[in-house]
Amino acid sequence: MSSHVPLPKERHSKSKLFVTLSSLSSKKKEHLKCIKTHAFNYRCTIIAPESADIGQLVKAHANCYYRVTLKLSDLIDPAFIAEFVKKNTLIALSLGRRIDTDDVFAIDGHGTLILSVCKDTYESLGIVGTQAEVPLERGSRFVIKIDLRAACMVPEKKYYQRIKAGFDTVLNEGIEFLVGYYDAETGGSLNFDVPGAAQCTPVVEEHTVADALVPQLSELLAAKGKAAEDWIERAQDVFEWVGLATLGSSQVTSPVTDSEVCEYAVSEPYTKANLRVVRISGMLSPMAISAMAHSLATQASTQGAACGTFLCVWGHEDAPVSWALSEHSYLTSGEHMYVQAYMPQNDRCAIFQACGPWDSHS
Amino acid sequence: MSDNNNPENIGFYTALPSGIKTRSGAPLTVPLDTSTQKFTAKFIERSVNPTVSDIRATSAFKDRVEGRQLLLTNSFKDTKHARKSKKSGRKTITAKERRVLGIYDIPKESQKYSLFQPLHQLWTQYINGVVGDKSGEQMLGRVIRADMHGAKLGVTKAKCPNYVGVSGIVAQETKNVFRVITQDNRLVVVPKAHCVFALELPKEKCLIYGDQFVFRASERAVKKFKPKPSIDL
Repeated sequence: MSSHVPLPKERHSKSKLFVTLSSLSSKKKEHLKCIKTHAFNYRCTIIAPESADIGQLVKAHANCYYRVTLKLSDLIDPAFIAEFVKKNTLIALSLGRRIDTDDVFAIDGHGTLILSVCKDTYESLGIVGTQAEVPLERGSRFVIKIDLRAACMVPEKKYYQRIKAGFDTVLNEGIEFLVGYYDAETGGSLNFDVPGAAQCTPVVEEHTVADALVPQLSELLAAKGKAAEDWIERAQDVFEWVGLATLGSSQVTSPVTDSEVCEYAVSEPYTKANLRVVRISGMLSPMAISAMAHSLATQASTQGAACGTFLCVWGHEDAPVSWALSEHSYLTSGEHMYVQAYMPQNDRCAIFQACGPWDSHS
Repeated sequence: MSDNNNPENIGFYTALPSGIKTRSGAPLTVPLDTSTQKFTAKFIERSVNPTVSDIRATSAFKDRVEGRQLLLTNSFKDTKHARKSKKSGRKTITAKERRVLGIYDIPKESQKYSLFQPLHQLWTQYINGVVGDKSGEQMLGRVIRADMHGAKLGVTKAKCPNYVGVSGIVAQETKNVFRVITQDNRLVVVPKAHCVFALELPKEKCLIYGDQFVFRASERAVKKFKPKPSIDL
């Protein structure tokens, strides 16, 4: 019987919110890095002043994706690797499999096949991986990362033969995948020509919020040096406001001050403005989001709008990784989401990255 | 100066006889004069319980005293000598010596699958005889007590994934490991612990949970196996 070794409290009891201020013109481009390293996104909401035509922008980047049933051995087929993995960008995530109880499989867009498997599967599979960092019981879950673009992934090599044998004998059932296949240069969706692949289109919803109270970002973006407590509080207030706005809460327009029910007031200073909220749901590629972010940042920094623009992206709750292959799991919520806030006529943006308690991103 | 005046020849100062000086040469057969012999017999007879008859007293003297010698000094012990004699008395060599000599090592040129196939055929005949017409639990009960040298087995599950997929003919079995000759002529040492083996029997296959199998073959043959609650590796 495996030993139960609970993680220390600080490892599994706290959700994290990272706030980064980044210059849009800097070479590091932190805001784009945050987007590009986050492969599995299922929803994106943009909140912008009514004057901005974000509906068209979102529709232009609504790339189609596919639902297909594949065997894992199909993913390591040399022809498949050459055609889909090496030439362009392939993002795939197993569908209907829970990260905390099932075996979850994904391809991250850079040719890494990630298998997050439970102990029984790992012991039969015969492929070396690492013990998962996050589950409460150590050794109950393992993560295997296979670089499909590596030179050793050819049928002549022993490593390949070992993986193939594992996929043929143990993980040999058909698995339903969500697959996004994109052009490596432009980021546009390509035809995923695999038998049984059903094409899906992201759903775009759009609405307007009149007279919304939008928190001002100038104070937040002007900070330098070590963060003061006031600044942290302000950042949390802005993040909270974005959450309410994306949920369509009426409290962003007329704050409720009934202390018996709920008390929320948009923190001051704020601006009154009409907002346009556009939401896109489906499998979203990091390239498409990055292109949208670039357009929004350019619009915000050049146009003299009344309030800031917010880009809010949620990751798949059952994705095995979050940012830059950081391990991701599920405790009370499998959240891994980020918000980018752009200020009018300002070169800086604020990036909020929220992780659940079982996310090794830091 | 006469010998009698020499203090070395008088009483307390008398030199010890050479037999006592060299302990190894302590005399075991001491000549006894007749008067001492007679005195000893009479003394024993007198000393034993007066209620005991004379005949029994005489027999007690003959059985226990007559012809026996009691060495008043400690027997001489040469530890070095004793150790040597003990070593020379041992008929077996230790496990450490066995390892150094490599007497159970299979030479590289003999690590060939084809060389072990006749052993497997022999084992097949043996296991047929052991199992007979039994099936189910009765068959398994016999299989787990059987000798595994020559059996074909493979690792189906292991805590260390590198062992998964190793299969071949068992060349050696120890308490903790199987040494298996694989089809690509390699000798692979597979620990029994934390592994599950698939054993190929003439008619069917069965799984052996290595954690419950960590015994010497000889111990296993007489062991009464009990069902274990956990099969977790």
